[in-house]
Amino acid sequence: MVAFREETRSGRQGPRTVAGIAILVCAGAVLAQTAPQLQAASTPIRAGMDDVIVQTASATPRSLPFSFGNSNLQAEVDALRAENRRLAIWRDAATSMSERMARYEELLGLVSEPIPDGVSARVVTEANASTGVTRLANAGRRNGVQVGDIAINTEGVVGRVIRVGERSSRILLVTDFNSRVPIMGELSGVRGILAGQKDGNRRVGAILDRPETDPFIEGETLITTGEGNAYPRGLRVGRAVQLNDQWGVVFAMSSAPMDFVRILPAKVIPTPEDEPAIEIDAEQGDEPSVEGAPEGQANP
Amino acid sequence: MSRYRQSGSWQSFGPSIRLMIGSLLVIMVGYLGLTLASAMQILSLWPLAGFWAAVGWGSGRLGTRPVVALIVLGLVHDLTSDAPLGYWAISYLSVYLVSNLFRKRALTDHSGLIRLTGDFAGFVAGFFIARTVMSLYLGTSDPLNILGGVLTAGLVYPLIRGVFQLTDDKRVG
Repeated sequence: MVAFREETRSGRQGPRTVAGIAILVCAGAVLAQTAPQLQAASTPIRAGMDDVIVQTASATPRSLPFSFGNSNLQAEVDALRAENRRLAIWRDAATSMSERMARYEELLGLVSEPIPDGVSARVVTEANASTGVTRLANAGRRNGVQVGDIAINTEGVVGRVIRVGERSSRILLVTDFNSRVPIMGELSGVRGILAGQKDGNRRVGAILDRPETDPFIEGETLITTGEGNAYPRGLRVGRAVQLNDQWGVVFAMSSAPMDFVRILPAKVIPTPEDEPAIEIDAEQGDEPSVEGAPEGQANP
Repeated sequence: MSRYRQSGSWQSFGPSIRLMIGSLLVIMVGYLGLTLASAMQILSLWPLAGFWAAVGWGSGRLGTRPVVALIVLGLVHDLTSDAPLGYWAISYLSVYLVSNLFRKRALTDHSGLIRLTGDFAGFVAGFFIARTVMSLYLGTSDPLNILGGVLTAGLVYPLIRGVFQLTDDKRVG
């Protein structure tokens, strides 16, 4: 009873009121952030915080400071893993090129799409708070990374860069339910939109919005179509699986560690409005010229 | 301040020092989660340390400083986890208030059962509030993302609850 009286005397309703008001204010702030404009207002702070996390996490050892096994063997394994990562990039490039070659044979005259170069980055941390599934990589604007760039690991597409700091970038994974990736079957050519599952399933994604009625081929590799101008064509995303009456995608990225990713620049094709054709000036001569085109290719 | 000073090393610290030590512990555990736990792929099971502070500080007398500290910890957590600003502060403050609901009864309970119930209620409330707010924000949410963290935090809490006792409430009756 003594404690009760003490509490009443000291007027402990104040902190409770403060906490209640703070909850209401925070709830209002959370709701306000459903507006993209207000959400974007916090982007510089978040990008700065991402930089801090990446810098501190990069300085932290990623494994225990001792080893239970043969250290030489461990070094060899590490070297092989590094080589495997490098080779996987070439394998993906070859897969992409062969798929495109087949299409080019069908569609002569198609403008070629160069295989993008990129930067390798270490994934230093993850954020799985129920807001979405993202990863922080230690490459940022300073390394040429831009919002919209594509992240891949040794097995396939990991996600897209949604925010860039000076030395960090935040990647929204394709497993997130906010993610949308236009895909197609490598063999069947059937297209669809890949989305993460609402139940947070990290291994299998859903296929939405299929324009064709033909089914995928069970187990076939699914690659990006390049539609929507977000992902380059031909990047491996996963494998087609039939789940009851729905088609799903077993994510390729899940079968490999995600400690390192390669961030590829998104090759955005400019719209005609952004890059209008050069007007032909009849007075300058009979032969119209195209600015920027190499000699001999201006007038096909 | 003198009423808080009791015998023993921890009891010799005032509430402000305890608040700072508790906050530092929360930040340190969160930092380790972002670095080591993330690298070891155990982040989903890493304790959500902010709930320790919310439950522990809520089990004592209410104060403005713990409220402010919880808001700051919540905002830091929002920034590091890419959550909307205010999300974790709502969760922590709600848990703080829920945990405090059991304080008066716990003072007259010699078995400690009421305090245990209060702690348990705090963690359960934390999980549901965090999940509900995120559902309202996104339209959907993955409860597994926070369930592991809340569970681990709840399991570890009895071992470290002393760190988050700001006041030395004496049982009465």
